[in-house]
Formats: sequence, C-alpha cells, structure tokens
Amino acid sequence: MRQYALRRMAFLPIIVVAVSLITFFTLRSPFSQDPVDLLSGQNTTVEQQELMRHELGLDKPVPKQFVIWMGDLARGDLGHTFRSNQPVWPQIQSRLPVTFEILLLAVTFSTVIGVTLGVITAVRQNTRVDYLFRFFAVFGQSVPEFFLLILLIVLPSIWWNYSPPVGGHIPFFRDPLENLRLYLPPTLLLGLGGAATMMRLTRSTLLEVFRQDYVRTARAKGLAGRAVVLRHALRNSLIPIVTLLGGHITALFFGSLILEQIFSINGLGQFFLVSAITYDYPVVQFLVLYTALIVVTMNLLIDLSYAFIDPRVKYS
Amino acid sequence: MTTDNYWTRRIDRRRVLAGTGSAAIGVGAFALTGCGDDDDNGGSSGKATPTQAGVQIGTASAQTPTAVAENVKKDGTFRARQSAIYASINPYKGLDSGLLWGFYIYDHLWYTPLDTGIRENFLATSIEQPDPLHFTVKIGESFFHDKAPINGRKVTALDVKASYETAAKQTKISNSSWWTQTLEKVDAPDASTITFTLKQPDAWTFSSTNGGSPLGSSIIPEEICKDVDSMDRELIGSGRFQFVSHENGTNFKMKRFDKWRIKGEPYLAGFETRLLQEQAAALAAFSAKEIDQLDPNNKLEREQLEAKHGKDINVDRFDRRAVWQVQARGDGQWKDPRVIQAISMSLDRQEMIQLMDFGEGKVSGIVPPAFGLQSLTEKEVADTWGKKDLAEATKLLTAAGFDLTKEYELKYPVLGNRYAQFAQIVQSQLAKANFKIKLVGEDFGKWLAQSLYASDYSGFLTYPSLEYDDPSSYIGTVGKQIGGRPNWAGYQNDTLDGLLQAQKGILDDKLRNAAVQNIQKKAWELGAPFIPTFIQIGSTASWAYVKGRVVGRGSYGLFNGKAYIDKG
Amino acid sequence: MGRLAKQHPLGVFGLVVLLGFVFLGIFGPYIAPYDPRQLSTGRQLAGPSFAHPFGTNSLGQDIFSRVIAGARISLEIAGASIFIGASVGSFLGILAGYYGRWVDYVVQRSSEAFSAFPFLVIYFLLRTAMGTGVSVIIAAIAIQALFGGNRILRGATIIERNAVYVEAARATGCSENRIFFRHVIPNVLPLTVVLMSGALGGAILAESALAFLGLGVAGVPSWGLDMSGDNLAFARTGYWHLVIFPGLAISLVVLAANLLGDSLRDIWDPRLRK
Repeated sequence: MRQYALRRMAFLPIIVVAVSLITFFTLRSPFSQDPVDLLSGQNTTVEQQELMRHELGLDKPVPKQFVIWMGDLARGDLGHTFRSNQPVWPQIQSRLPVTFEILLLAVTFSTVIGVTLGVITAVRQNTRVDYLFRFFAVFGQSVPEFFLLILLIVLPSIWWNYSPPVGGHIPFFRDPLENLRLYLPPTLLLGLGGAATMMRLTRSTLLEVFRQDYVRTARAKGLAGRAVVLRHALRNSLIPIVTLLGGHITALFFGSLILEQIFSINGLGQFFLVSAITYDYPVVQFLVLYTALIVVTMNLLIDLSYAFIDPRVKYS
Repeated sequence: MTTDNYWTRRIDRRRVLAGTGSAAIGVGAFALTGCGDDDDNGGSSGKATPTQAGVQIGTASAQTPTAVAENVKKDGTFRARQSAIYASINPYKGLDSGLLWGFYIYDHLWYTPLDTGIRENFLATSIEQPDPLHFTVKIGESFFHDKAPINGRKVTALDVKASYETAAKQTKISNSSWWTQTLEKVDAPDASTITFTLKQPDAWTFSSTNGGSPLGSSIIPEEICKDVDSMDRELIGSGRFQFVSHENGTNFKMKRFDKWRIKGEPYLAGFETRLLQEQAAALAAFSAKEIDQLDPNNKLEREQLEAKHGKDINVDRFDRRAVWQVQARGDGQWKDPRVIQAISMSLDRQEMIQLMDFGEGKVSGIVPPAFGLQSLTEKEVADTWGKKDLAEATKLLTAAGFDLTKEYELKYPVLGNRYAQFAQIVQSQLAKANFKIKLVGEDFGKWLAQSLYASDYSGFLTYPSLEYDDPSSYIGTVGKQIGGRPNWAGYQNDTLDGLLQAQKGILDDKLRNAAVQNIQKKAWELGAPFIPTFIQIGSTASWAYVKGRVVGRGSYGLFNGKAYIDKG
Repeated sequence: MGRLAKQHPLGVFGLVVLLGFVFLGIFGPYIAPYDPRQLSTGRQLAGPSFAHPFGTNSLGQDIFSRVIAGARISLEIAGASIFIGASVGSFLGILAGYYGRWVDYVVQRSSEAFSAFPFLVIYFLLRTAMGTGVSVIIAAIAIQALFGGNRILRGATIIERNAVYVEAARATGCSENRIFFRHVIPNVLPLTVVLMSGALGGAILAESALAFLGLGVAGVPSWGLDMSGDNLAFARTGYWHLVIFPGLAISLVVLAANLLGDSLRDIWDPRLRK
C-alpha cells in the first residue's frame, strides 16, 4: 500500500513536466496570435511593439522561454500577467475562495441528494417512488446547467421582483447568511445534474450488491433490512460513487465558469476565460498546471481511498 | 485629430455593448466598460429637472447644474452597474479604469461639454492663449487625498506637468495622437502656472479626446508619476471621490473626499459599482433596487421598466453618439465614388432602426445629430448619406463596372448580439443590390488588430463608432492616416485629407464648424468608405430617489457633484 | 424490431427522436417554414401563433425555423467529436488491452496525463493556441471522449484475450493478427457504439454551453447562442419564448441521446449497467 502510494507520488513530477511541456508549446504554436497585438493600441509603433515583446520575454527562442519559465517556477516565481503586469499568484489566490465554494457546495448537493435518493429508490425498487425519481433523474441529466441557471435569474425577477444579491463575493466567515443567499440557490441547481447521475449509480450499485451472497447471508442472519443496507451494501457501493465524484468535480470546473458568468461573480473561471482569450500566457500556463496538479492529486487520493473503503482492495 | 485607439474612444463614451454572455467576455477581455453605460451614467448629474422621456435633440438644452433644493441629503451611496471585469485598477494599464478614475478620482484642468462645445475651467482658474502654439494655465487651490506617501499635500503645477508628461509616454493606453504629434512640452514656471507649447496649431486641443481627455489629463501626484506601478495597488488623486477598495477589478468602492476643491460637494457620501455582466441580471437587480441606475438596452426594456415602476423611476432619453457604420474598402475598384454612394444608397436605415432598436433611432451623417453645431441637417443627410435608392444604386454599380460576381467578406467582432445583428442586416440589405457577402465573425482581438487596424478584409467591416464628446473625432476617418496608421480602409484622398488638416488650423468656432460640415458633404461626393447609418435613441432609468441628475451634457455629467440620494 | 420496442421502449424513443434531429440537421433548410435568417420588421417578438409556433425574435426571425436550423451545428460538432474521440480512444484501448506490455504502459500513462486536463482547460488551451472555430471545439470535446473511453475498451479486450475461445483459436494455430481482427475486434466493437451514444449527450451539452458563453461558432443559428445576451434580457422582459424553445430543444435531444445510450448499454453489455 505505502509502496503503491509512493510510486504514484513519484509519477506526479513526470505528469507536471509533461503538462507543462504540452501547455507551453501548444500556447506558442505557429497558429496562435501574438499577445503583443492585443496589447497594442492604434498608435503603437513597431519599435514599441518590439519593446513590449522584449519586456514580456517573448523575443527569446521558445525553448529558452520554457527553461526560464521552469526556472522561475522552481523558485516559486509565477511571473506577471501580460495584461496588467501584476503577480500571477495573488490574482489566483484571491479568486480561489469563490470557485472553491461553488465546487464544494455543488458537489455536496450532488452527493447528498444523489446518494439519498439512490438509497431510497434502491430499497423501494419498482415502486412509485422509484419510478418518479428515476424519471426526474433522466431529465436532470439532460437539461443544460445554464438553462436552469438563467431561469433562476429571470423567473423570480418577473414573479417577485427578486434579484440575487449583487456586489460580488462575500466571505463566508464574515457574513454566512449573505454568503449563502448568494451561493446556495445557484449551486443547488448546478449540483442537480450531478445528483441525477449519482442517484442512478448509487441505485444500480446497491441493487447489484443486494443480489450478492453476503447480503443474503446478513439478511438470513436476521438483521433488519435497513441495517443491511447501511452496514454492508452502502459501504460496498462506495467505490463507484467515489470514482464518479472525481470525474464530477473535474466537470464542475466548467459549471463553475457558467455560474460565475451568469451571476457576475469574479471567480477563477472568469479569470481563466479572460486570460485565455487575451493570450495572457503566464496566467494560462500556470492555471493549466495548477488544475492538472489538483486533478491528479485528487485522482490519487480517490485511488488510495479504495483501500480504506474496502479492505479487500490491495495495491501492489 | 481623432486618433486614439479605437477602444479608448469606445470606452470613452462607454456605450459598449451592454453585457451579454458573449459581450461581457469580449469586453472583459479588454477590460472595457465602466459602470453604468453611457456618459450620463452614474449619479453624476446636476440637472434636477426631470426631463422625463423628453428626448434631448441635438445640442442639449441643459446647461450647468441647476441650483439645488434646500433639503439635500448628503449621505447617500450611489450604486452603479459595472458590466465587465477590469484587468487592472491602474489607470495607465486599463482603459476602463483610466476613464472611470478620470471621472471620479482625478481632477482635470478643464473639460469641454458636448452641448456647448465651450471649454469650462476645472482646476484651472484662467487659460490664456497668446498665439496658437502656446497657452498658459493658472490653477487654483486643491489637495490630494490624504494617503501615504502624498498625505494630502497641495496640488502644484509640477504635478500637472508630470501628469501630462507621463500620460504622453504611456504605450498601453493610447491617448490620441495629439499627445505625441501636437504636444511639444509642458513647463511649470511657478507653483500655480503651467505653460503648454505645441508643435503645430490644433483648434481641437482642448477637446475631450485631446488635451482635455479624461484619461490623459488626470492630475496624478508627481511622486506617483515616477512610480507608475504603485497604482496597481493604490490610487491617489485630487478628485471629489477617493478610492476605497475593489475586488479583483470589480465592485469598486469610493467615498467622498472632504477637502474637494468645491466646498460642500460632492453630495454623495459614496459611489460604488456592482458587477452585473448579463443585461437580464442587471434588469433584475435594478427592479430589486440593488442598483440605482440602469441603461435599458432598447425600447422594450425601457417600456417594461416604465410600466412596472411608473412614477418610482425617472427615465432620461438622449441621442446616442455611437454611429453604426459600414466600412467598405477605399482602394482598387472601391475608389470610384459611385461605388461607395451605391453601397450607401442600398442600405435601408429605417429598417435598421426598426430591427435594432424598435424604431427608436435617427439616420446619421458622419457626425451624429447630437452635435447640432457640427452635424449635417436632417435635409442635408437625406440628400447625401441618408439617401436610399436601390435602382439608382444598381445603375451606379454597373456604370462603375463594379465586380458583383465576386463574394466579399463582411467581418464583425464576436462581441454580443448587436454586432452580429447589424452585420446580418447589412448583409441582407446589400444582397438586394446583388452583393454576394459572406459573414465572418471574428474573435475581438483578431478583428481589431488584424482586420480593422491592419485593413485585412476583402469587403466590409461593420461596427458602431465610439461615443465622443468631441465632434472632430468623427471625421478623422477620411484622412490618409488614422492615428499613426494608414487609413483603415486604404482610402487615400488628397482633397479630403487637405480639408481635414486645414480645419484644425481654423481657430474661429463658426468657421471651423462649417468646415466640419463641409467635410461630411465632400466625403459623400468623393466616396469616403466609412458609411454612417444610424444612431440609437438611448435611455437611462434611475430610481426617483436619485436627485440632481444631469442629462444631455455628454461626459461632463460625470463630473457632477450635486447628485444625491433621497430615500425619504 | 417490435420486440426491441417492447423491451426497450425508452431506447427506441431516444433513437427515433435522435434520428429526427439528425434528419432536421441535414434537411432542416428544406423543411423549415421560413429562412432562419430572414429578417422582418413586421413581426418582431411575436408570441407563439399558428404561423409561428415558437414565435419570433427581435429581428422578426421565426424561432421554430431557427430551432430546426440549430440542430445542424449542435449535432455536427457533437457527432464529429464523439465519433473521432470514441473511435481513436477505442482503438487505443483495444491495442493496450490486447498487446499489453509497453503499448499498454504508454496508453495508460498518457491517458492518466490527459485526465489531468478538464474539458474547460483543454478548450482554453486549444483556443489560445489555434483561435476560434469549429475544429477547436470538436478537438476539445474529442480529446475528452478519447481518454474517457479507452479504459473500458482495454478492460473488455483483456477479458476477450483471455477468453477460452481465443485460447482455443490460438491452439488451433490461428495467427495473432487473425485472432485480433476476426475474434477480438468484432466482440468488443459494439462497446464503442455504446460508448459513443453514452458520450453524445454530454457533447451536445458542452457545445451548447460554449455557445451560450459566446465561445461557440459565430454566424450560424445555434441553440446556446440564441439563449444568451439580448435574448435572455428579452426573456426577462416577458418574451420567454425566445429562450424556452431552444432550451427545450437541447434538453430533448440530450434526453434522447441518454435514453438511447442507456438502452444500448443494457443490450450489449449488461455488466456495464449502472
């Protein structure tokens, strides 16, 4: 187990290097636009453009730029944004809480709603409750997130003159109520699609487990139905759920951008978007790397968690 | 001359596409757009008279802010809409922030309102111009905001000198070419006197795109001018509001500056912006009183707000100054004036106004109708740029031997629905004159840098002009050079270029205005390829508790210190 | 066919609806009552009526015709990206599963590296590098599908490789290539179809969300784009039909794709039933 974890960890730097290489050279592909173009005004002369290129370090050969970037990175210097010439990290750091909260709440809603309904529908298989929730789940997976989110802007306003709070992110610990007033409704909607998937997965996994011998044995031993579900079956169906969770969080990066955009919240998603369409290389490079690290670490933790969930899982 | 960066001007007049999913992205990219929209934005405004729904035609009638009622409430905070995220708060690194702070945080020597066209002194107490190449400005007493390292010291002539010199050197924001081509030097012989020397006469020197630009003429402390980067974190000016905080370029907070040079002003205790990218969200926020003012995008939104809130809101209406234009090419077979005239005659401006703004708009010449002194009369427009005659157009095209078998590109920036809609309307109207046109939507940055500035298009570009306070800015497109670059349409006409240069030297206002009108007529005769079509009649809705608004004075209204909030 | 409809009524429903949309995508211009781009000053923002079942937008364009026309770009992007992504992904998965050793290692590790790029990140990266365009969107979705699918195919191939009948074939002297193409491939290929249909819904959702954000293809009628910006503001003003119908169209086609995907999975591989 420990050896497996160590080996996976050793693989991390390789992924980081691979991701950095791919990112860096893709951005500077021959098809990409010159960032200096976008920083120039109508009166900017060719000499001024050359100067800007020099200041941004874009006049050096690309491999050399890569070495410089990697060197800076190793020293903890993430560079400055092209557009505003500000250090990259504080820009990201200050937006992290927004995106983190959106992800956290959406994932929580998906999981809580999804697993709860999954258990209910599995236990009450082929009853009306089962059919009803399965029906909704199929729809939940099909409706675009942005469709639900724009309805949240439009309908309450038409009906009750209600608007979501405006004025940006309010730190949770400063004013929990205002914070939740802003984030709860949209993240609940954002989590619905995930909840639907989660519910269907939980249900089918549980049904499969129910059919297995040890559950039958447990039942035969006279344990009450509910206890069987909770003690044995659920524990055994955790692995697919946790696996799904990983992919779900990754997919939510997109959902978070949509939410930020519609609700005018200045989070990491919007920052990424704006940086990407303005060819702000230092930001894009680092954000790609940063998300990659998070995703890879998350996947690793998920793999390792299998062993805790199910002691039969052995890594060699 | 009209020369600043397209987007400087664009934001300058702020009527950038109101945030839509897509617009906000494109605009956000360039960190454009201020709070609110047009210049009559933001609780600035002094005119208490509710010119409710009274369209301001031509030169506005509203003069200086009227005297204020006795029971002024001096503690309100005005909340305006911000429709895009700013890249930086540094006024020299973001055009949007440069303008926003220019109106609220920084002071200026003078400003020229659009209705009168006559310069009004701000910090300046007198401006003497002994000859066209020199002028001397005396300044009054004022103080900087009380923040380290300036600590509220007095504003001196040296600060003004440093500010102009520093602004002229900025490459990331382009001021107009006045800064590089006309301004020779600025001196400060004593603490309250500044002398300007020009390289060549320019009658538009005091206009709001040149020496009176809210961007470049902002008075910044000398020490800060030496360390421009410090403005990434803190802003110190001598304007009526001081900077308090922001959240990564959004949701700005400003508070009243108690030692502002006009005693007792501003009435507002604070000015704040709220990021609202989607127009739908902004409408919802306005109705829920989360913001105090909003520009409806069109007639329907305005009518809906009026129906919903009735007397609880005031709606001001005014002619917008963004001219929607069709830019053809100005070289090769397009050089024949008949071609441009034919294209212009193929366009159905009434249909454009109906489709884009539900009938609320006006046909416009090169200088929009808002400038009554310099724009062409309705009749003159109808005889030239406003003419519609499809049969005649077809005849002219044939006579000119224009190649209609070829497919031409029409490039527009992908920046929200209005750009795409206009492009589509132009395509369908030109199709009636047998033009084969392929619509090409381009990424904004690419469109701007390559298609517009570098003239990389085979047929047409469509876009709205910016909204200037300065009438001369509209005619610059007929010159051989626009800013520092060759004419965007490749149009090189000696006559027009000569007229354009000549009017700058006419110091008499009446004669110069006539020259501006003449250039517009000549541009029609000679087939200048920037074809004006129409302007929108815009509106601003404010809750009735917003008192002391100013309308019809262009960006001048943004300097108003007599607006206040009276929630009763 | 009748039996199939009885056993998997939802799947057949999904298939029919999906084929319907494909039909609209291909023949839309000939079926639509109006030209989706045709402007008209006489009928701006009309509500649903007999002449215009879904009403008209602010330019007087018929929304019903635009919804039909929008099927094309949506299905074109989703279809192309899933087809490319799932086929290449399946092929890599099969190779990895069948040949094992270093082939497996390379495919597995690169798959792991690519799983570090969420869809949004891939899209932004490609967009910055290549600019806008249909191909960039297709590529971004395809890369997601590519590395999503190869694990499943790899697993299935390993099972087939070790199956008794393959052992038997080997014993009778069949060449490895023959076994690979005649036995293994046909047995795991249906899984590719299952994979494709399962991923189609997600691809359509991704395309429409990009279009909604203004990152889609410019200049063509598109469901996501028609729900954004001005149209959204009109919806807030009470003209709800502008956004509801394109939204329902997306939901319906994704629903159809999901139902079809579920049924195909049940039919071809009950083991994968989730």
